Amino acid sequence: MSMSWLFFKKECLTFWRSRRALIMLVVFAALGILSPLMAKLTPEILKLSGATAALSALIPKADSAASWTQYYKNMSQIGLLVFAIVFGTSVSGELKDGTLINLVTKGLPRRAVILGKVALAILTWLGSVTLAFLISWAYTAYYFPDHKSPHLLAGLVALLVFGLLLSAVLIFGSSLGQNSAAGLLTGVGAYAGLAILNLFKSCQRFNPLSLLTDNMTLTTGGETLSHYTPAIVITIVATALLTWAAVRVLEEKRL
Amino acid sequence: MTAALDLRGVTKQFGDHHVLRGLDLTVEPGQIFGFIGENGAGKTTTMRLILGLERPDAGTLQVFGQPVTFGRTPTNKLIGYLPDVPAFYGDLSAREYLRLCAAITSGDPADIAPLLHEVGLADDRRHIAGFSRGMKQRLGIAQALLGKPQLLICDEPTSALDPAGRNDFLALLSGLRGSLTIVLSTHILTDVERICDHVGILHDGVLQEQGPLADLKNKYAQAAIALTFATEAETATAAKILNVPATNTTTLTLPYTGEYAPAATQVMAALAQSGVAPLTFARVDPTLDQVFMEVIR
Repeated sequence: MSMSWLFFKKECLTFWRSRRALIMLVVFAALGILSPLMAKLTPEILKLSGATAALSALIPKADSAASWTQYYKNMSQIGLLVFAIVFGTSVSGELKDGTLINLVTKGLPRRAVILGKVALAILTWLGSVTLAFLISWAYTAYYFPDHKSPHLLAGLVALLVFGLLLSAVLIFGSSLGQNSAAGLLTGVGAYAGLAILNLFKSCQRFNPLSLLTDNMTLTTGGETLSHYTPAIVITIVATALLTWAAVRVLEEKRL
Repeated sequence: MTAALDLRGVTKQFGDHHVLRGLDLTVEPGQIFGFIGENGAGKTTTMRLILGLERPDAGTLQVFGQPVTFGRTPTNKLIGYLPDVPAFYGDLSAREYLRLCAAITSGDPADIAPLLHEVGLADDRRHIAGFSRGMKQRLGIAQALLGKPQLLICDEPTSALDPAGRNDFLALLSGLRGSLTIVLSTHILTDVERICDHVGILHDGVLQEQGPLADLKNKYAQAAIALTFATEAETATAAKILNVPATNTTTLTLPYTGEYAPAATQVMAALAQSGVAPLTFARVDPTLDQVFMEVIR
């Protein structure tokens, strides 16, 4: 564990100095600001653009639910993509540059590399999403002081838990080879697979993807978090399995 | 005494390409061992096998009597490794990188400052990304020496250094003589001649020859006397007197066996008797190049 901690500290330092941390901070803070702002401004913009009365009637009313809908949409699209780009080359970059050779020949267990990188990815996801959430929450409370989103934490927890799996998928994918696209492609593949599974209604309760897509149902109280317990358990187990698989892959890899 | 490095019957192939075909290699403690061979002879593969970065197809490898295993081999605690192109984290400073290495090897962080001073990076606060190739190589040797390894493995360490950097690096390695065992893998034979006391020549996947450098020179190379004359005509005359084949240049090379002094005296006497005076008269010592070419012929 001490070696994993050591490598994790190194990861944090280089993550900060390479400005990847700054990118995450800026992007997610911007998403946090934009979500309620877009919910507030969209109807106004449409009105100004001369939308017909019929079209205006179709536009959802600007309220806290619209703000949180925008937040989860941004998180599951732009947020997910930026996160995948930042962490999709985490291991493959090291394999390509040969930076692990010195450390591994000095006795650093390859396991520590994966654990350090998964830990950083998870903490970054938790931190970034929470930061965006807090900003969004403050603006939403200011713009839309209503009671239409009573279960904010349930929606957030689901999104945070999904990030565990996302982190493990990206690190596993990037450990497969030196190709910088490997992590990203594995992420896209996993997303597509889960999306196909989600087409089957009976699978949805068990599908980790529902933790990313059903946040508004949870936020508005349409469903409780306990309904998604199977998906949460599967997500956590899959995260552990993928982390273990990434360790095995790296242990057999030529450096 | 346990050998610092002992390889027995090591084979390794990549696809259809047989890189090593039963390599036997022994390096005794305290030696500076030059491991030489042509490009692609398998030197780097051998180094990587010793470090557990490759899995051998057959054979055994031992470092100070302990077996090497693929992956995380405990023998690496005894080894310092300098790859041909050491790769570092560009966002760290040299000191931070060595601190990381020291923590992994359970080394003493107090060793870092003297090491940085020794390799000439003591005052450099820049991130490694701003380092020149030579500076990275110097940091590479510092990280390899951190934790006081018993065996230092250098893989083509001077191939990309400028003459001054190469000179400094070889002087640094030479200064370590006696304090640890060094394996210097290279195809630059003058580097080996300068600092190594033992040599192994890898060719066709096996060690063709191994032993003290002086013994190999005695066995394979011949010393000579080189003479230069003012004109080609004089050179031809001298060749006739000395009973060697004439050349179209103004230089003659006379191989000799035994001691230099009687051979040189004999040549000078023959030339003086005929009134032919060379412009230069020089002893040419046998070189590792000659040994190498003889061995791989």
